[in-house]
Amino acid sequence: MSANSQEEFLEAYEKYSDALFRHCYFRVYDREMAKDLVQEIFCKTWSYISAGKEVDNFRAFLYRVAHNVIVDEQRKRRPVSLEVLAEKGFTPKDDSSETAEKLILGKELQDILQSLEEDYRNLIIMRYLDGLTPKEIADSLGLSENVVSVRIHRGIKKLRELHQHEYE
Amino acid sequence: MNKFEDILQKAKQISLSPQEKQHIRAELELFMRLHPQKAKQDVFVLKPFFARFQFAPLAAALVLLCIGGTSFAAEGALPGDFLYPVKVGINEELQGFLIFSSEEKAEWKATLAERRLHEAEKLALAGRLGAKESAQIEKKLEHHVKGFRAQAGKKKSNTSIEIQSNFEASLRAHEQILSHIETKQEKQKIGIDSLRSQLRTHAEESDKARTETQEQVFLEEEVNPRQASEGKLGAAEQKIEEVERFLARKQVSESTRIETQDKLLLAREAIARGRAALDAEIFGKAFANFQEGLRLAQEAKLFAELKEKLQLNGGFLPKLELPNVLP
Repeated sequence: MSANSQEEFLEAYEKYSDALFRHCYFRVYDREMAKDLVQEIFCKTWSYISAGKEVDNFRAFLYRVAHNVIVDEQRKRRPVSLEVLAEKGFTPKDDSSETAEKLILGKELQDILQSLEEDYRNLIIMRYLDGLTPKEIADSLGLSENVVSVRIHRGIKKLRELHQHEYE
Repeated sequence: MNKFEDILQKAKQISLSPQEKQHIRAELELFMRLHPQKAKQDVFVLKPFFARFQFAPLAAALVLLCIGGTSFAAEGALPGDFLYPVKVGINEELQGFLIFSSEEKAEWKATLAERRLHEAEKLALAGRLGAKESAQIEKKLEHHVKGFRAQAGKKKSNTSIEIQSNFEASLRAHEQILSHIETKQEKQKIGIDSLRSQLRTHAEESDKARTETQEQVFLEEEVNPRQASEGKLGAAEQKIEEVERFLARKQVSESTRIETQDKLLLAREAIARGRAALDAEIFGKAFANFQEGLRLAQEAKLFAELKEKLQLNGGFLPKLELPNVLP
């Protein structure tokens, strides 16, 4: 099992790290932190695998670990509820000029997402940004597929209602 | 949804630069070298006499590798707290992943049941165990106990006997603790009584199930009756010693010491009956009595530990502690 699965694991890193980074970024709005989180996610996944445990859906598992790690980080950083934070709005912390352009790219999505509650927001990110299927999302978060579909539907509906004026 | 798609498209351009990606990969590779793969058979080696608290640290250690701080943040959460869904939904499920034998699954269910009981006790002490919370906990408890039964009975081994015995001891110890809390929190009486009665029922059922397993194990050909009984005697006496050591600590309150010694007396009586049977070479009876002694000693131990932990000493009402990691 050994050299092969190390290779496979690193391939998975190459394949999924960008998407996970993006996911983390739109949860914490801090580029440096998002990078740290990606590292943590893969290290933890490695620990799990190297202990001999099988993982059925690798991607779903990565997102599950991601979710845990992010919640952890949010809990550590902010003793305040996430709803209050969303109201206040927070700006991304990255100053470097190379990524200034990219900051703007993300700003619009960030604004829209902040108008949603955490539950809806995460699912919208996972479905539309990360491109996970409802089943994969369900597996990742330990929810039923039904709940996931319903919430996504409601989230989109809410987005439409809130941002009506922006759509033709 | 045109505009939304545009926004998404832009957002998708956010990614790691090649240097950033490589940097993280280098860190990851280093981590992988420091934590090489284990061969599958090395991971879970069940010891023959498998006490509850030996298992928890192993699973917990592996989970902490995976989860790091999350467990700590959410672990102290109680029903109604912000992170309670995280604790129950994600943390516990992920911890559940690490478990595969039926014995370990049973142990896991027992651990979950105990967590619900810890929560009930903390809530009761804080005056927060209303009808709603009580019903919620009872429902979950019912679920865990069912899960426990389903797994515990699968394998007929000494380990499964001990697991069942420990579970029964735990249920009884918690019932007694709740009884103590009731005297301090009169208003919580209804919630607590209901829970206590549920616990007594489950404990009795557990007793029956375990006795059945015991009988079946004894019928196994590979079991040497004399050895099994003597082994059980050793385990029971060892457990009593453990409790004595705990009680010898300075911090233990006098009331706890007295109450626990009473329980240990019952354990010693059971062992005495067992010895008589052993002398008469009635090994089945000897085994059963030693097992009973072991269970009573375990119950005494849990009771003493819980009482001290919750600081249920005579007199004033204890304050609710801030969320902490549960053992």
